[in-house]
Amino acid sequence: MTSVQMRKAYLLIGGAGLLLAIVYIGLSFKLPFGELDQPGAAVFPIIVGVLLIFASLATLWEGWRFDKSVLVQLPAGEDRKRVLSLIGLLVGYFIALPWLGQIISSTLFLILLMRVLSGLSWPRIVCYSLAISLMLYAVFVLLLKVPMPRGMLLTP
Amino acid sequence: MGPIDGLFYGLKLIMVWQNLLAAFAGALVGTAIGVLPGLGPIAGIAILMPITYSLSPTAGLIMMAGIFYGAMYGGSTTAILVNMPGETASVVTCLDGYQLTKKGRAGAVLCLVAVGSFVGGTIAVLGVMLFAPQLAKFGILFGPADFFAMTAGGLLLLTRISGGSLASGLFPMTIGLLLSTIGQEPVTAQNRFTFGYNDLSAGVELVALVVGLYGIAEIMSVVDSMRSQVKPIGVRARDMLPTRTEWRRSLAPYGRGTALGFFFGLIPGPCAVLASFASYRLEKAVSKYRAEIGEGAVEGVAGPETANNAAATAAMVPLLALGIPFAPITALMMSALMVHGVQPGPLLIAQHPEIFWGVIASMYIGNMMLLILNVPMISIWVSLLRIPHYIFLPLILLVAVIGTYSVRNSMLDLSVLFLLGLAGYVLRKFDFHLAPMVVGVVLGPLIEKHLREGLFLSRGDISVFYSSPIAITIWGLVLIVMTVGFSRNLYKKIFGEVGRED
Repeated sequence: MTSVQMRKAYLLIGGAGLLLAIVYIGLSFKLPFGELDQPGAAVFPIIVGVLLIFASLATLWEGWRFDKSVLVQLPAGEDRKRVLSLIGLLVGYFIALPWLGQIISSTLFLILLMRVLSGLSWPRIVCYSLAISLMLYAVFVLLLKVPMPRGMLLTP
Repeated sequence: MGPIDGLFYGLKLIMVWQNLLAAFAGALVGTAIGVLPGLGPIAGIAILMPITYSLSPTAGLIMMAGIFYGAMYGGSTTAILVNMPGETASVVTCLDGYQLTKKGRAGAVLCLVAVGSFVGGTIAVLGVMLFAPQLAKFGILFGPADFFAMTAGGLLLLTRISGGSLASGLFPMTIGLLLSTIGQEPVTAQNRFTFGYNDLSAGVELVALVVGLYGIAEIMSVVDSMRSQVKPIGVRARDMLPTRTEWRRSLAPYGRGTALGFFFGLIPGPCAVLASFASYRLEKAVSKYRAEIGEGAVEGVAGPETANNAAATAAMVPLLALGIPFAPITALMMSALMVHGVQPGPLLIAQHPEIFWGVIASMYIGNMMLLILNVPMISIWVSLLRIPHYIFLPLILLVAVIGTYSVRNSMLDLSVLFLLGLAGYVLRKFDFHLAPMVVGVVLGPLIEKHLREGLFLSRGDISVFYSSPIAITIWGLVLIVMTVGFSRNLYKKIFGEVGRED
C-alpha cells in the first residue's frame, strides 16, 4: 500500500471545486436572469454556484486543518495494477462498443478482465467469457429487447 | 379510505399475478444483491429501474421496494457467515454475528435475523399505513415556500446527519445540485449547460449517475483490495433452530429495533445504516446482557437487523406522503414514478390510491416471501458466496453497462457512468458521502421549481420563504442541526466511531 496525505487531497478537491464554481457561475450569467417576481433560468444556477464556492472553501479549510500525519491508503503494486487495468479496460470497452457491437466487445472485455482478476488458463477464460456474454445477450437483447449497439464495423 | 379498507383494497390489488411476481422478483433479486458484495441495494435498484418502466407504476414501485428490503435481509448473511457486510446497513452485524458463527451458532443467528427483519418490516408497515395518510393531509396545506423549506432544508439536514465533517456532505451535495441544472430547466424548458449535446437536454441520467457512484465505484474498491476469497461455512436446515434462551433474549431487541428504525426512517439521511448503528449502541447501553455484546451476543444482531428493516420501510413515508425523497433509494423510486407520469406529492394517496395501498399490501406479502426465501433456502444464498470474484465482478459490470445503456440508448450515458464511477471511487477514498449528491440531483429541480413559484406568487417578496409557521419551524430545525445539534462529538456518541454512511 502507498499513502497520500488527507490534507493534500482535500486541498486539491477544494481547489478543483472552486475553479469549477467560478466557471459555472460565469456560464450561468449568460442565461436570462429575469426579474425577482419572474425569475429566469440563471437564478438557481447562480445560487448553486455560490453554494459550491462555500462548499469548496469549507473543503479547503478542513484540508488546511488536517494534521499532516492523517494518511489515506491507496492501492500499490499488484492492487494498483488491477485497478488501473480495470479503468483502462472500461475505457477500451466503451470505445469498442459502438464499433464492434455488444457481443464481440463484451466478450473481449470479459476475457481481458478475467485474465486480470484470475490466474485461470486462456481456454477456460474464453469459455467462461463466451458463456456469460451469450447469456447476457439472450436475456437483455433477445428476451428484454434492449437495443444494444450491433457494431458499425459489422453492419452493412 | 380508512386504513383497514385501504389495506383490503391493497391486498385485492396485489393478488394480481403481475404485482405478486413483481414483489417476488424484487424480494429475490434484493436478497441476492444483499448477499453478494460489490453491488449494494442503491446500485441494484438503479440497474433494474429500466425494467420497472415496462411494468405498471404500482408493480414497478412494488418491485423496487422489494429489492430495498430484500437487500436488508440478504446483507446480513455475508456479515454473519464471512464477516463481510453485503451492504452498509449490515456492517454492525459483523461484530456479533461473526463471533456467533465462530461459536457454531450461524444457522440460529440467521434465523433470528430473518425473523427480526420480518418483525421490524411488518410493524413498520403498520406505522406507514397509519402515519402517511395523516402526513399527506397535512402536506396539502403546504405552499411553495413550505415545500421549498422541506426540500432545501431536508437536503441540508442530510449533509449533516450523514455524519463526517461539514465539507464531506456539503461538497457532494452542491455537485449534485450543479448536475441537476444540466438540461432543460423545470419552468420554461430552456436548455442549460448542454454545450450542443442533444442527449444532455433531458439532463444527466439518474441511472448512469447512481450506478456509476454506487456500482462501478464499489467494484473498483473491491478490485483494489482483492484478497483470497473467504469460503463460507455450510448451513444445514436443522442447525437453523434457535434455542429458547436465544428467542427470549431477542424479543426486547426486536421491539427496541423496530421503534428506533421507524423513527430513523422518517428523517433525512441514510436511514437504514444510521438505524442499525444507533440500535447497536442502544443495545450496548440498555440490554441486560450488554457485557456480552461485541463478544457474540444475539442482542447485537437482532436489534440492528430489525432496526434497518424498519427504517427501510419507514423511509417510504416522506416519499408517499409528501413526494419528497430523503435517501438515494426513495429518490430513485420517485424518479421511476415520474417516468410513469405519476406526480409524487401529498395528493398521491388521494389521486392514486392503487399505488399507495398496493405498495403497503405488497410490503406485508413481500416480508412473508422474504421469510420463506431466507430461512429454509439459506443454503442456496450461502452457495452464492462461493461464486469466484473473477466471475461475478465482470458479470455485474456488464449488467451495469447494459442496464445504463438501455434507459435511453445513449453512449453519453456510458461516459457519465464511467466518469461518475471514477469520481465516486476517489470521493469515497477520502471519506466524502455520496448520498447527498444523488439526493441533490433528484431534489434540485424540485427546489428550483418551488423557489421560482414562491417568488412568482409573492411578486418577488423574499420574506415569503421565512414567514409561514411550517417554513419557520423547518428552517429553525435546520439551523440547530447545522450549527450545534449534530456536532461531531454528539454524532459519535449516538452512532459510535464506525457510524459512517459509505
